[in-house]
Amino acid sequence: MMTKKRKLTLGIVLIVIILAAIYWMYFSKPSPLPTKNQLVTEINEVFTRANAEKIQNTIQLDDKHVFVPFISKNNEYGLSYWVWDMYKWKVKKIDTTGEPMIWKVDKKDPSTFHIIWNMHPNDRLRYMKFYLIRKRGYQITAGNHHYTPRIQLEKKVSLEEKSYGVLKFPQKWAAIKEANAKVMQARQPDKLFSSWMPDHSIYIGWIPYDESNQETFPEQSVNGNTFSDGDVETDFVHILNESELEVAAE
Amino acid sequence: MAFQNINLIEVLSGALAWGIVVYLIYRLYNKRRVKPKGWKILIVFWIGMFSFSFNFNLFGEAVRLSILPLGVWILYFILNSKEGRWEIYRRFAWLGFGANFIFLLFSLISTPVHQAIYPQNEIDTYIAGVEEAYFITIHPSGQDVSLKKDTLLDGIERLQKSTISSDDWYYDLTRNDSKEVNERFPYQLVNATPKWGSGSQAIIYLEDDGKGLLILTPEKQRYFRSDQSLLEEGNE
Repeated sequence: MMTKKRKLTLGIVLIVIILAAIYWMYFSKPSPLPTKNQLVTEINEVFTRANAEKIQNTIQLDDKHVFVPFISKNNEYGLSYWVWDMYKWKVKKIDTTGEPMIWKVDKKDPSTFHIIWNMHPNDRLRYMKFYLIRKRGYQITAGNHHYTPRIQLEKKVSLEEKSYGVLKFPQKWAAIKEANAKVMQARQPDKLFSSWMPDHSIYIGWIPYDESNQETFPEQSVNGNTFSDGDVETDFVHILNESELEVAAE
Repeated sequence: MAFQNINLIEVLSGALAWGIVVYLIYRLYNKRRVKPKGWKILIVFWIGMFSFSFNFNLFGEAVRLSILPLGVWILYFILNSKEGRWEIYRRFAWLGFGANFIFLLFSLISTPVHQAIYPQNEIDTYIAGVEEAYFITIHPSGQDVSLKKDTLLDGIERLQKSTISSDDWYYDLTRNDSKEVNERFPYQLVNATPKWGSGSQAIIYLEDDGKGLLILTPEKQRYFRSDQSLLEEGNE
């Protein structure tokens, strides 16, 4: 028979161990990313169709989020999304083709949003332009006027050196998205009925350009397959035509 | 930072409502001959607050009207199994249900009070400080503009409320179906601080000539014009 005192000691030791384990799981510093070979193995384990062969690079977005562009055995250029998940690095999403995607590292904070891509060299793109867009509009309800100015901001990205890349949301884009989200959230009727909702009125668009500075369509970088464990927030980047954009009038 | 955008009226009215509720619980407790344990009263009160409620929109404000006292019923079924026990707690349970109406009343009162202290038609409710503010050019037709603090604050004083002609503005720009368009409001002012305690959230656009502000709040849009640009020094 254990004495009361021994039971108590054992209890305390157990609690300390459990607390330490929880602490370790939630607050431990991320370990270094696995080697490139291990990354390939794991990608193919969770998503056989990815057929990964070569890791091109590992790009840290922050200390717990890493973008890993890869090339597959069937010569596809893909995206993989790695997250430090409590105690180990896990691949959360895999796209077999590399058309631009928005990775919302913290879905409520637009300053953590990143656009990632891995364009197929056969598409022969020289550069792409990304846009923050909101359409102009107006609304009159019960005599109350509401005018929505157009938003159109541009960011050009070169593809001449590498097929892959990352664009962190420019500070201005994040500031615009954030100001908009705050006002949307504070809308009275929604306050009681709904929790947090993403805001789609302002979206991201892109136009790819070829070697002769013409708009083009990157056939080999689109229509891939995707694996996702559902635990990662991403969004599509809308492909645009130049004709949908505005320029300053004389 | 956290207190910079506090809604003072909402906080005060909430605190006042809670004060009254706590006082009522205390008074009821003192009146009882049989005194139950304090924590039991609080739990009964808390469960008593559960209610089936009806949410609706009253003059643009979300109202939550409690109808069925679900919590009181639950407590009745639990406590009634032992004789005399329900009698001890009954009033606390009903006070929980009644508290919903005290909170509703105070939130209804706080709206006109808020509007009296922070008039929605006055620009300085939305822009009181511009220490960390800057302009973002949101359209290709905008220039690179920089914010001059004194000019802006000076200019704001001279702004007059004006009417929005959203349909005219829209069709003026889209009528020609041309790609060449100069947006009427090509600048956005970010990081301006609203009047302290107002808790106002607003998106602020500046007109292309620098003389007008379009303010978008969760409820409404407002438009202010001046005879002087908010960007440059005045000529007078």
